[in-house]
Amino acid sequence: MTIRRRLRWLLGLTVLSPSSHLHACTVCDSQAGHQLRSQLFNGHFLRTFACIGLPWGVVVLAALTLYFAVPDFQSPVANEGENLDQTRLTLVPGTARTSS
Amino acid sequence: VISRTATRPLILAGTVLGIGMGGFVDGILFHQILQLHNMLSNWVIRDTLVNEQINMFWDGLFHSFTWLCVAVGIWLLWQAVKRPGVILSGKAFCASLVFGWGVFNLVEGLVDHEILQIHHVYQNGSHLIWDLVFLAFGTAETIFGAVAIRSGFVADVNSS
Repeated sequence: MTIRRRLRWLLGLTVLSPSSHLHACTVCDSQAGHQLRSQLFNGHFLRTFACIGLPWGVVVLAALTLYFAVPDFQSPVANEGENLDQTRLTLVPGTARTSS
Repeated sequence: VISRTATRPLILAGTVLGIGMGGFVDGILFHQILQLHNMLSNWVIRDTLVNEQINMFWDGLFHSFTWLCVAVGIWLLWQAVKRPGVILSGKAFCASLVFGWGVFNLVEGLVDHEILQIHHVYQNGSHLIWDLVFLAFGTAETIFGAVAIRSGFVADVNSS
């Protein structure tokens, strides 16, 4: 086995080793884990949380606003003097159905 | 006249579902597969393992919000289906999904990319053009969705 091949084996074992120094997660008891937690749950946590949540608050408000702003749709059929009431829509089979 | 009480529940359900699914497209495609940006990648530069993991944490929170949105959307859809008199138009529902996706892209593009600048669409280059394309896509989806919702209901009602 050449030296180069041995070095490749050694490198592969180091990468796959469970005791690698890169081992880190939010709840890990490792140096990187501690570092991660200290940088996550610091004085800026709530501000960052609010920033991440802000667009979701805006889209919920937008969805509710749109819900109440939806207009009645004018159907060309209705314009010809035929009123489309819900009873008729329920009785006529077709692609558009109403829930019952 | 197609009354709004017959259309609103389905539009709301489709829009909320579209917002959630649009969030998942952003999170899965841009954050995870392409890795163009992460949630805080303009504030916490992804140059170390810990910084990468900080971004991963906030990505997870972002995905939690998208999951909640989809869950609420499913509940709203269930309510719409059960409610008497609601027109169950497939075309209008699909258009609502597109509309919701557009609303998500517009709001996210304006709030996250431009106002708060917590990240940009493409973090490693000239970000303005990418941000503008993202906003333009969101605007096009919103307009197309709004027009298609109306025409979807009208077409389905007329064909019945």
